[in-house]
Amino acid sequence: MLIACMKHCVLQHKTLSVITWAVTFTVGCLFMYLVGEYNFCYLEQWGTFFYDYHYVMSELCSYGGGARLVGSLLTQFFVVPWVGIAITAVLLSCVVTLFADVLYRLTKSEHLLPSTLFPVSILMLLLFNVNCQYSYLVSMLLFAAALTLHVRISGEWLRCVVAVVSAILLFMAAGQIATLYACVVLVVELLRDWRKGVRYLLLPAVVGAMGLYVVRAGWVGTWKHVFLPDGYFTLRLSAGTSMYLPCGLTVALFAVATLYRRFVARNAKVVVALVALQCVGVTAFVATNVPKYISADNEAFKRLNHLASHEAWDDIVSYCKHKPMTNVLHQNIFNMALAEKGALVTEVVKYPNIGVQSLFISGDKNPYILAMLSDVYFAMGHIAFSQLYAFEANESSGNVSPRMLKRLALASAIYDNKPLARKYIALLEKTHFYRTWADDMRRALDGDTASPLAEVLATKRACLFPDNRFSGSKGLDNDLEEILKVAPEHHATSQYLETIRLFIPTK
Amino acid sequence: MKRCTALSLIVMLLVCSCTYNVEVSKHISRQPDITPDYKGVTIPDNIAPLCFAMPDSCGVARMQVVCKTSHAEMTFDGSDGYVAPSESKWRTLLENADTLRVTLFAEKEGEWTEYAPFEIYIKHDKIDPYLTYRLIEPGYETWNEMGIYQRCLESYEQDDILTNKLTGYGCMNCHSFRKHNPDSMLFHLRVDYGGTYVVTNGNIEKLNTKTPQTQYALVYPSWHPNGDFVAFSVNNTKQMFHTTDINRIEVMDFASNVVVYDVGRHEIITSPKLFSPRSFETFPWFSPDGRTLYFCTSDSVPMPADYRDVKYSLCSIAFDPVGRTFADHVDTLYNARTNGKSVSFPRVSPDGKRLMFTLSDYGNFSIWHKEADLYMAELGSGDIRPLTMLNSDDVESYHSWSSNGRWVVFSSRRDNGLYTQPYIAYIDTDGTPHKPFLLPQKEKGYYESLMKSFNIPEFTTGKVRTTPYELSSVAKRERSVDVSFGGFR
Repeated sequence: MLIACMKHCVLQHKTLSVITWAVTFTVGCLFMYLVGEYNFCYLEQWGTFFYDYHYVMSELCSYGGGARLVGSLLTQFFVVPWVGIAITAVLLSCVVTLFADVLYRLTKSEHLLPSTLFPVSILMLLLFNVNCQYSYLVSMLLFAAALTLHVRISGEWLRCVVAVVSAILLFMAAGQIATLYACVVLVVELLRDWRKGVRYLLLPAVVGAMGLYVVRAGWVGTWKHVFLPDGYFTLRLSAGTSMYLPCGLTVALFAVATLYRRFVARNAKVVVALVALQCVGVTAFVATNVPKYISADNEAFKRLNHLASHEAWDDIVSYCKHKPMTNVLHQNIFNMALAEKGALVTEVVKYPNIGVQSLFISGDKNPYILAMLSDVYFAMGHIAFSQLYAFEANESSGNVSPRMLKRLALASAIYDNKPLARKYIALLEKTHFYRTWADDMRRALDGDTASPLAEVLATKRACLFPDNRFSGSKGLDNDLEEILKVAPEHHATSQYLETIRLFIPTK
Repeated sequence: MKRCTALSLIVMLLVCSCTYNVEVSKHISRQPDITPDYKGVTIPDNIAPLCFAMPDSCGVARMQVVCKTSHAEMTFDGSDGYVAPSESKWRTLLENADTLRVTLFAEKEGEWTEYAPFEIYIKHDKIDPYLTYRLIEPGYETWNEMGIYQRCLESYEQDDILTNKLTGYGCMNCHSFRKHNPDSMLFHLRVDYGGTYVVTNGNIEKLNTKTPQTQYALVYPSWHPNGDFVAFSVNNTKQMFHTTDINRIEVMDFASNVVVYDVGRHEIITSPKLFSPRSFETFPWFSPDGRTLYFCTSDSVPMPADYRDVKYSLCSIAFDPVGRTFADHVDTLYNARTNGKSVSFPRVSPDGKRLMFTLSDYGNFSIWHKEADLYMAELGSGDIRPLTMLNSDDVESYHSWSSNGRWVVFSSRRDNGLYTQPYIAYIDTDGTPHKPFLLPQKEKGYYESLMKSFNIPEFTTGKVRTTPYELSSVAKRERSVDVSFGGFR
């Protein structure tokens, strides 16, 4: 029956493109929702877009800044749950559709369409790593668009000229993806006709020369940050080979497609088998890689973090009650919610804990842990530590974390450092989703009791130590005692103190 | 054809020279509030144009600034409450002028207001063309991107000397120049590619300066004027965080000593007067003639318990560069025990007449002390006075002299108490300071948006020509030369 359909049901390429896009979008949305509903909300916490001329121009003028700017522009919308999933699914679907179009033009068939999902699925999974920049996806889309344009040009020399120009523009605007573009175009053209394809050696030469320039000029630190996808990962960390997979699979995909053109299957049964094999292969590929790229614990942490940022303590408690709670980061957030609810002392013994580390983890200095600790100490009323960790977290992530900027503005206001608070507020006023908060903060800073932030400002200001000391120098429990002397009504502090005493009985 | 061309040129000139048609409807007898505050400052005639704005709260849309000198008058228009004079017009204006009289007109809701004029004073003692500094967040234990940069003071151009994206995102610090010479400098890298890098006329040498005797890396460099020596401090530094103190953190030395590095012999020498277990010695600084080494010293006390009792005196010891020896006695210029305050960053003027230093209530990491202020000592008479014109309610610290001794740059947190900004001030021949001005920037709101502090500002007489790539290549590929301890001299 399937063969009959294929014989008799001639789908237009455009119709198939639309179907491909729609199916990819739907499946992508469902998949990302199921495996990591709050992943993109969490990404948004670490970068936002500033509506500022100089910020935009400085990004545009930097290596790969165009893709980063678009990435930031899109990321700002991820503050709204589901939007990140939808936008990402749109972009991924566009990449798949453009890849499919290229494959169609290379092979004059739709037989290899399912294989477009190999590189794109890995790219999607990489987006669940908070250190993978969203600009990787944006850059891949630009690459796909450039490649689509390339294969649509029939004139030999025009195609070569356009390819060189595209490589240059990709290099400047999207960075490292230009290397992929140069490789794919070169491979495709050489496999098509090696005599004519030789002229495309110009592409890697141009990209290489430009890369050499940016390294020599000191714009980029290392060769791999210029030419390889490592440049789309947190630069001070080692990316690992997983970042190369989307690019490697893309090169392989189009190389195979170019070769396939010579051996296009005519037999319908062979075609069906080929398509089925690809579908099974993609399914197995994704199923095999999901556990490698997506950790249930990490996704749970992102969910808890999202709930904590909205002070949804009841939701945290009800979510955690049905979880094993063996992850110490989950315990930190869960215990914070219990403390805010006034139930930490009574409930903590009912759940897995490893002592005070379950209240406030120590040792790790990565920005994600630091940000969580800022929340925990803020809940305790220890403003000095909360401010310290917020500063370090924000600094470690390039000073663009809206969540940490909010905490820094609030902490500065608590300490009555108005000029400093106004500096952070001014930054948040340049965003779209935080300018209302910034306005509320400015009003609270100026003493407007009607501001929604006036109460939290007053409550936390009351927690400031009456006498100065070095934070934690006599033990955190001692610090909390001092807070309770001046703010006995700050119940979260007493909850934490009693729980610490529970874990470490005083002699 | 020629007539058309001439007409086109005239039209273009007219268009370009069109300024706002200002019809003043209100006169205000006070001077305008502007940011940065450039009212009454003294500037060199080769500085980049001073750009400034009216506060956003004033609601000013368009601005016009009329600048008059004794021989010229220029009008500059601005929008969005901000004015940025053009560089060419600015140069013309400052040429041969002593005073710039600035009248500001501001448009709000369609009405123009004229403010009382203010003056900017011009000195023809040129400022060194470049200022070098590190840009780093005023953070604590972690860092992200940082770099050492050089800024042309005659324009707004800022170039990298080295950024840590080229060196594995490690830390870099303590850049220092011999007699303001950009071709003779050193700096440190920490963590990846750690070491001290000495750059002399393009030749880059990587040193491992840790010895068993000194234990810690060399910091706070001071070049000997002949280039054969560099004085350093070796410090065991820790930091702790206040809960409520006006000063956010406390950075303190648990031990410190002063040493002198012999550049040619790759050897560290010192004196028992500089390397005592009973005291903390730090912040060395050579006099311009190279025969005196100034430094700060404090009694060593149990740390961190007695951190408020650590108060540094300003002392000096004679140094013989030929014999590589130190005198056996130390002179005290400022006695912390009797005066009750603590000295840091002694800096002698190039003519050797004066010494500027930072004074705080205690301790040595004065950038974290809001009470820290700048003081001047007359080396001839021994008189010490506060530089009230330069000081503010917040911290003033790290300072350095220009090569002609007429200008100083110093670090201040007066704007918001956390992010350090560089201020430049003129010092008269009799040592009188004039009102300082903030390093000018072209971009409106530059300092408000910047999330980094200007650290260790130093003047240089030219541009550092060694490229970031060359520096990073040596860092990555060259082996360090081990420095040895040459003993007490």
